[in-house]
Amino acid sequence: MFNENLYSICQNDPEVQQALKALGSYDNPCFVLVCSKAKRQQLHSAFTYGATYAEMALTELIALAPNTQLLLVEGEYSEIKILVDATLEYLKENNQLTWMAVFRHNPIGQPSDTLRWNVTQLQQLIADNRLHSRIALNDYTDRQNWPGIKQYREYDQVEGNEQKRPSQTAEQPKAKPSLFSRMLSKIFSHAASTENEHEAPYLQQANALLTFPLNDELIEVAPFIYYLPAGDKLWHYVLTGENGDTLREQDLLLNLDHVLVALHAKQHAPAFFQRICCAVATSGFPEQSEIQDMLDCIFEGLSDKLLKTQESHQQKQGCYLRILDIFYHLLDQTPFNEAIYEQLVEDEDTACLNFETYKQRFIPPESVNDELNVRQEQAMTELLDDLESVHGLDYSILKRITRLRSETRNVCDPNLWQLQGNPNEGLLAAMMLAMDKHENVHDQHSQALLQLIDQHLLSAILDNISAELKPKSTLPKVVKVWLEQADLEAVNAKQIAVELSACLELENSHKQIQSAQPKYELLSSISDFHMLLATCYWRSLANPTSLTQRVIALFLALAPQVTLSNFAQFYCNRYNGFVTPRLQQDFYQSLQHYNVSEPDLFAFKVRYCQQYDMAEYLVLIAAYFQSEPAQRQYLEQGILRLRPICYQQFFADVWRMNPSYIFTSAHEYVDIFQEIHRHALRCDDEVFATHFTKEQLLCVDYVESIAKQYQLPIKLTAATRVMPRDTNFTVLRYQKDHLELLIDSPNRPFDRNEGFLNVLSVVILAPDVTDKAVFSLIDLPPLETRNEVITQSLTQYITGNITFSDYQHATKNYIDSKVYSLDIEGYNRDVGNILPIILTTQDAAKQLRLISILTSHPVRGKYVLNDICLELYLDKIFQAGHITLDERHAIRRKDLNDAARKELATLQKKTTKQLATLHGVGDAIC
Amino acid sequence: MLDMQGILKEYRPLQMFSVDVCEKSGDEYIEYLNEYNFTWQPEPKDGGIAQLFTGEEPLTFHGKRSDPLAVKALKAKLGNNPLRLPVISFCWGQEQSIMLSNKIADDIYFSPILGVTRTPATIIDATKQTRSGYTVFSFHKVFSYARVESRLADVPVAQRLMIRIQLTAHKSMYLVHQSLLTRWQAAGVTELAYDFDNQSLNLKQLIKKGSYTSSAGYQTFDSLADYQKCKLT
Repeated sequence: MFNENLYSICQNDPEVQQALKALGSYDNPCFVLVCSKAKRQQLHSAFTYGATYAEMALTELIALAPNTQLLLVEGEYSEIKILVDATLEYLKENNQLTWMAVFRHNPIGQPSDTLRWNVTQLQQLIADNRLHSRIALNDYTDRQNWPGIKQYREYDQVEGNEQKRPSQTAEQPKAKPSLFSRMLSKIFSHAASTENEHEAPYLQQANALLTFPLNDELIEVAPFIYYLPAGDKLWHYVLTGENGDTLREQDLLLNLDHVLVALHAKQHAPAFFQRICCAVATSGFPEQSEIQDMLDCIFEGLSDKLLKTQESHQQKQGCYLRILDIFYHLLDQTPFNEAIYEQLVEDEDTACLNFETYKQRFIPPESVNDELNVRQEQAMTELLDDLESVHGLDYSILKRITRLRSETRNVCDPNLWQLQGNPNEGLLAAMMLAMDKHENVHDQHSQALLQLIDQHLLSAILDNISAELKPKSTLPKVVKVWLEQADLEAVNAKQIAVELSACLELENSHKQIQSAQPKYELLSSISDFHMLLATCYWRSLANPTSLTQRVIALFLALAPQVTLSNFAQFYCNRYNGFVTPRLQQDFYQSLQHYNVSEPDLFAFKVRYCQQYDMAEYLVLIAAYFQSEPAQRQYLEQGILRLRPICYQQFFADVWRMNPSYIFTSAHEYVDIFQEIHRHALRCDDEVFATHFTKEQLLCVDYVESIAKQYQLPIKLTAATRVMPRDTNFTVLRYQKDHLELLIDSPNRPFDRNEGFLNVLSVVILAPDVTDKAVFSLIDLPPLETRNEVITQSLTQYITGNITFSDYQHATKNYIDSKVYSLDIEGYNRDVGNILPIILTTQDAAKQLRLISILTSHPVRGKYVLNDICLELYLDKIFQAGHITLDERHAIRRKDLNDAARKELATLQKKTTKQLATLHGVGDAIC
Repeated sequence: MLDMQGILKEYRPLQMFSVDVCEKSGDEYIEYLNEYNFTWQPEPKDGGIAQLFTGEEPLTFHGKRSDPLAVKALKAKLGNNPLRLPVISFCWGQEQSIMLSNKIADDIYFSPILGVTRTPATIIDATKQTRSGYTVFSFHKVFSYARVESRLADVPVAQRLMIRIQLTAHKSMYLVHQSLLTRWQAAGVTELAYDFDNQSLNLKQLIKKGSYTSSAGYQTFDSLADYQKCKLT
């Protein structure tokens, strides 16, 4: 059923190419390929049905082949999922065997790549499900369920391998066979292709000389090396290590810089060329410096096979190093990037050189007499640039500094840094000074570093703090004096923190909420203050001063977790936590100089261990649970200053491990629903419109988007009224050749002279809507009132004092329940999530009521319920001891086996039934 | 460059003027030509516009500017006279490729160490006329000044007349041998700057500064006729 020439058809179809060309640099539609026995008309009906269900608009299907259509669809993951699920259901009910492959286009990639991968996806889907209708969905916006693109890139490389078969004469390129047939021929003629490859002289040579078996990556790079100038000698050197001196004496390595890497690869080693292009990921021909930058990626497979192996370890290492020798010279003896340096010198699993041997082999001798050579200067510039984004740093920055210091002491001379008086210079100086202290070095450079830091640190701190105060605030004198005077002890840092907290500007997300830990603009992720805080830390490690001690004490009191993270990041790998146990120890030891409170340290460890150390996390959970109530309360002082996502998870995990535990933050559901409803609240015009049926309501839209048929002259009537309060919409009634103005806005009235609407949006009603029906709504409650009604009704309902029907009756016009989700776009992450509340509510009736609100939309509610039931089910099997806590957090729906899916489906059915009795028959809303 | 000790002291920056031809017509101004008319790009391929070319096949280029009204106005004004094209100009992008008239390109040779490919080029000019006799030099490599001094010192001058030099990780500049600049100046190539201030001739300062432009500024013409005659304002 799958058309083998599908991609080729797409490439030649003008409608398809037009659609691809029209994609802008921010567009990320889903490509939907449909292969079905249904006739086109039936497909059209199915998609119309699906689109109605998902409340989406669709473009026309593009017919590619008799059974295959393409559609490009804009929409979020959840909408697309509803669309394709509903469309497939429709076709299945009509007994039409159908496969749908959905691939989200990433705007940073090429549309043609997405289309090619979509074709591959469809082909694979059909091959794996010949007898069943199925959907394959690959959407990077759904990070939890994203199969990724690695397999598609690998299919591309298979395609590259097929093109590698050399044609010795210059010929016109033949028409490409389809991807599918190329893959098939690769799979089924592997024996034949293996035989062909092994006839190549470089491979015969390899088989004869290598002391270990050839691997795919070596086979790929072999022709590249073999066809270089003196390639046979170079290849022999790679295989055996022999004649390296001869190669150097005859300048055969040196003269490799006559060759352009990408062009040579394209001409002699197409598969390797494809690998280069994939790694460099450029739309055009790769520049040599781009290849240099991505060499570790280009050689990732090769290094895995040759360095990360115990068998024939030394021989393989040697082979890899000799390949690097060749590329080092091809790339003009430019030192390799950090990743290759770490691979060869630092990584425990792969290191095979020490710094000195690496330097001799892969760092060119100095040819000009500079204090810092160009590369070192550039490395310093890059270091200083990276230190500006101090929030995103990790241990690798220390490694880079250490490496530069090993090359030359001159990097520690701030007079060679092109000083501009920026805080990143002070930070770098502080880190180098701390390293000097650690290595027992104290020379004129150490002195210069000290001076650079201490000269400006206090004034920079005061300036930065003063720049982030609330409007019309000034820095309290007591804070300024406390920071300035050198003879004060750091004993009343907490009191100073209170003074400072009162005048510091808050981040927008925190202005409307109450939180145990306010988020200050001063400590936002883009603030320069992070550099100063880190400078104090490193300066203090070198030699504490009373200023650095006071600043650290103050910020540990003001924002302990942000401060601790600022210090800890230098001991961590960005994604894996502390780099080694020793570094972890060093970090905690460094904190002993400061008075980090027990609750704050406990909270830091909770936050860290949640992500990186489950064993220790369980210990912390047990320590908390087993504490006396007073001690628990004490620890909660720190825990509740964590972000809600962290402390909610902690308390939920405490409950999971100890079901008798009562979740302390249960009262927060009110705040959380306020945040949910902030996104679900209807605007004035929508609220007005919801009082009318679909037939009565012709249009509710922005003025500039009014459908053409309603772009008519507007006439006032004797009945025209004005809304009693300020609004930004107008109510009109359609009358065939004009629109009657029924309700005007007082603050943005209709311009009678120009016939111009000044409001943002309009509600257009059908001709048969009576004046009475319209004017009965003129006293539309303002937003604040509606909010209050929602909050009060919600609380009444959750506490069981009113029914769902009463709740819905009070709020149905005010809320768009379509918005309800466990993951609302733009949701304020500082408020906390409703899911932990639901999961840990021990009152089953209350739990059901909480769920009933989120699942109240007739279509989307089903999907929200599915997500909630999954979480309930995972907690159930965790409580039954079938999975560990780690697994509880990691398991996704796709990981469930058939038996688990059945159990989950049973839970879903049961919960749906229970909800049905709560939901009853709700009032229909337009 | 003045601060260099070795071969680089014989080089000067390649800096190009941008063109601006704006003519008053009644109460309005018609912008006949601007710099984008002479910034060259090939047809897009796979959604991207190439900036580096390999010389494996001839290519056709057109200016970056796409303004049908300006094309119409130009054609009407020029009649049958061909539009004057620059003998040297940059291709679109990060200045990895330079378009040269064969009049000057044919005299320039490159050692393979420099990593330069030559692509025969046809230009579709701003009046949609096809113009042949051009070559695009693509500089696939960027060199540190230390590498130039160590590796190119023994290469004959005639094979290293233009070098692409690294300034920062993401920025480079072109240096042209004085002899070539002198030759171009004598041949009447007006698109380039031949005089430089001291700051522009201090390579280490340019590297430290981190920002650089190859633009020498604008050459403005009051009328298309003046532009054709190369008569500056």
